[in-house]
Amino acid sequence: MTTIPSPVSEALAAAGSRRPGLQPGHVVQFYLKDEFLLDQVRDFLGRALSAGSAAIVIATLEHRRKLEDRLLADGLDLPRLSSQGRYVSLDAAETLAEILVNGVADSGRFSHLVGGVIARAATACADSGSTVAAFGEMVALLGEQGDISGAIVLERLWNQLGGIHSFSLLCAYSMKDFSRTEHTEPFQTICGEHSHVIPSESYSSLGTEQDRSRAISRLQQKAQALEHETAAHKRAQESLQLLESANRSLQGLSARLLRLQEDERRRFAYELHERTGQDLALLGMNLSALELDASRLSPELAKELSETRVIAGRVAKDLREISYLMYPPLLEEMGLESALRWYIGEFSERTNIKVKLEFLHDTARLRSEVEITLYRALQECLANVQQHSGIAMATVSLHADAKRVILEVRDDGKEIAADAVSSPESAAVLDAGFRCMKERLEDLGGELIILPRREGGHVKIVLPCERGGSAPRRPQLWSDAAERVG
Amino acid sequence: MISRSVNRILVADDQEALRKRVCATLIRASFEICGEAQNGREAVEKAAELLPDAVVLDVTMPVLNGLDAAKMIRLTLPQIPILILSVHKSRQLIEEAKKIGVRGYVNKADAGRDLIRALDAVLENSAFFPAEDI
Repeated sequence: MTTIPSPVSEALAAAGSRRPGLQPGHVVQFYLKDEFLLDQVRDFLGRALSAGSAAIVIATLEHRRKLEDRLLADGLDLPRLSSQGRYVSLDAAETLAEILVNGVADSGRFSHLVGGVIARAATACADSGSTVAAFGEMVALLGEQGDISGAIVLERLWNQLGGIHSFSLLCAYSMKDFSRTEHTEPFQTICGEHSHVIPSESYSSLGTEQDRSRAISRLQQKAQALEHETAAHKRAQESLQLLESANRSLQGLSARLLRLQEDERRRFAYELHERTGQDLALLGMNLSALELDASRLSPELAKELSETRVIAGRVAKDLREISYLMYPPLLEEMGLESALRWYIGEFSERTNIKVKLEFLHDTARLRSEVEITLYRALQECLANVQQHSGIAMATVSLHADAKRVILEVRDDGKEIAADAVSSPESAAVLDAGFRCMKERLEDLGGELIILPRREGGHVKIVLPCERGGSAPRRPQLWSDAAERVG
Repeated sequence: MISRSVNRILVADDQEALRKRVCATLIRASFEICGEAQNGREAVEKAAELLPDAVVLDVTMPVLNGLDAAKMIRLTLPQIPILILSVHKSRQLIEEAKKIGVRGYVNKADAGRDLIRALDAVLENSAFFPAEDI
């Protein structure tokens, strides 16, 4: 038996009272380690039993066993005390199950069951004139299950019972059940339901008042620092949210700019090819018609006419090539396959890089936006092949199923780092066009995947798609043109 | 040499000036212009109505493009030869035109040189397509 009273015993000691032993009260002990708690309970109940009072334990099986070991070690004859009705040990989970109705402690059942136990224990120790000591862990079980509000209801029922029976009650909660910021309010409520609050061992086991004052000062400083850090963390989180929001807006803006750029390219290409190009063709035809009557002209004029027709033809050819580079020719009329074949042919001729094209899909048309995005993706991939791989051969494959279309570009040159488009740092090494492509694909719900390969690069582009019919779509552009042309 | 006076041609192009130039070139070569169309759908309708000896079709036209118009004409009037006259210079386009059953292809830039020869060829049931160096 300990000789120095524990903080619990001190709190409930009959200071200034003529009555021996404990005074009625409702104490809560917070703790970090079981061993500390069990020593506190041992002191609390041991003193009560030694003073001739009765002790009630409503705890977990493990705690009851360890507590009994301690009390027996202190020389208390528990079997005899139990037979006298002065030592009552109940299982917390079983007792709790009996008083819960729909998960909430029922006042009637609690009063009947727990009140009955206290009344009988009080009768058993009536001769001693001391107060019954009780240790309860039902509230702790609820707290452990995260049902702090249920624990508060039960604490209040104990308080109501205290108005009917005289007893000293010790409750205990593990500090780990209150480790989050949102536990602050229920923690304070629980403290408010008790006549005495005993801090956990880090404080209550300190020997002198001076040590405790130091501990309080230390805790106050920690609280201040924590409060400051919490505020800083909150500000950082708010900034992060703002940053994420700005980033999303920026990505949306970037995708919108790309769409606008594409529309503009399409418009310029149309103007060059379908208007200026047609006018040049007309000019060529008119010059040809004039040449039919060249015999009526002087030889010099006939020669100049012929040269002019050749120049008109050359300008028409240059203009056509520029417009084809700005926007894929015949994409609207003939679809992606034709446009890709044209670009690959032009690319191979320009770079001397042989490109093998594999089409593994049927001829059903894809959405206009998907087709032009895949075309642009191929342009970027091949530009990357040309710039970085240093090889003379690449393979392009296009395949589609009901839900997605996949474009793959492989080459035998230098490998592209797998994280090249996933981390901002490594993304910096990629061409701007490649990064724009990633954003553009993501805007359409697609993705750009750099696949690891032992040798060479392998880029995979996946886009969700709804398959259209085989009939070509009519672009808005033609309607506009029809109005202009009349 | 076929008798051009009996060859009635339908010309479809959305660009009026160019269409008129084509018509003038054909008339000068003694073809008869039996009709003009400003878009693919009109070309299909007029082909069925006028039953020309040949149809000259532009590719890029509103409402219905020249390739789709050619498909429809080939489906209902397979005996009428079709000549594509386009500003596009694309091997894929020519291959696609061949698949449809188009008899000839002339680039507008080369029309002064090739249009009459191409039309003569398709009316003689021959093919006329540009050389491989396109």
